[in-house]
Parts: sequence; C-alpha cells; structure tokens
Amino acid sequence: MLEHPQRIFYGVREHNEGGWCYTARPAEWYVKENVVAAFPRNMVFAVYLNPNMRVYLCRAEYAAKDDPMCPVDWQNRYRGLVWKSTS
Amino acid sequence: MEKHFLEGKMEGKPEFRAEPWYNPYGDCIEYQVADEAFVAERIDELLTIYRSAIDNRPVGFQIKGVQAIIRRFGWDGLVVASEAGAGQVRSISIVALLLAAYEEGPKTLGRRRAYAAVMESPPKQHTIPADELVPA
Repeated sequence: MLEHPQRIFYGVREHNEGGWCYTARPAEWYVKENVVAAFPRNMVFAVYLNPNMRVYLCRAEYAAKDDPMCPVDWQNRYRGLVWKSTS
Repeated sequence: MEKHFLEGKMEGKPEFRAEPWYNPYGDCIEYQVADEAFVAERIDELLTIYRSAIDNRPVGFQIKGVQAIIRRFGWDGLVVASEAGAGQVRSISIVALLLAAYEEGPKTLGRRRAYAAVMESPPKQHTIPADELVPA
C-alpha cells in the first residue's frame, strides 16, 4: 500500500495540522480469520500517517463515485490531493 | 497459511480485545467488537462508525480529535472519578465524549441517528483512564 499507492492526500484532520492518507485497492483482503475474499469494488483501502510519518490507522472506506481510488467526500475531508498514480 | 508480512517484526501472539483504547499516534479512541473486516463510515469530523464487511452491522467506532474535545469542553464534563486502592483514578467517560462530539456539529437527522446507534451499544468498559490520553 505505502510502496504502491494510487492516491496521496495531505491534511487529514481539522484539529491536527498535517497528516497524510495513502489509498489503493488490494485484490483481496481477510474478512475474518482464515477467510480471504475479493476486495469489494465499492471500497478503497486507506492508510493514515500522522505529521511525524507514523502510521496510526488503516482501514477500508467507501469509494468516491467520481474516482474509485479516493475515499468518499475526499474533496471536503482532505486539504488536497498531492499525488496520483498514472499506472 | 501465508505468513503475515510483519510476523518477524512483532513479538507475542496477536490477540483481539473488544475494548476501547486510546491511539496516541492518531489522537483518537478506537473500539471494535468483532474481529472481522469492516468498512469505515465517516459521520462527521469527530465520529466514524465501523460496519461489518460481511453483513453491514455496526461493529465499532472511532472518536477523533480527543484532545480538541477535552480543550473545548474541559475535564469536568467528561471525567468520572473512581476509587482504586488507596487513591482516586480519573477516567474519561466515552459516552460523555460522544455527547460532546455530537454538540460540535450541525443537528442533522443523519448525525443524530448515527450517534444514537453508537450509544445504544456502548462498550462494557465505558471509561478510559485520563492518564492514558497522552498524544505521541
């Protein structure tokens, strides 16, 4: 995820300056112990880093309709989209 | 079974605990009742509900900006005191924190329903010691 992100957003919290969100779509994920399933098409996986570049959260989120590699409402949630994969 | 990519870097056996905990790196309280995949449904700037990826039922929540809530409302409205051994322990009430978070945003039907859903199934451990709420 962090080595091959599809999108990188800057500014993830209103109360904490800075922070980053890396997103991508894995092919599969664990839905419970020993059960692997295809990653849902309407979701995107997000990894959050604080301003010290420490990972503090990773989770699936609903994908935006205008860009399935972005979490829903990304235009209002982050300060900006700073990197977009072209591959 | 395939080895987890972090297996060599972690010590001890992984253990799931259905208890709320303070994440100092994200300044948020995390709570998950079921050890299964979930999707995060962002309600507002302060509350996110976790829904099961299997059947969409609520399986947890996240309260963000804990320090900002404490600064805004002060400890008095959020803390419950309890006796522990010889001394008194100050703990923060998760329900009080949720109520404070609700007051921060617009009074919409969607927010009210979401906050009510979270408060209908509060964690068994409903407080967190105040001295644990230290951001990293």
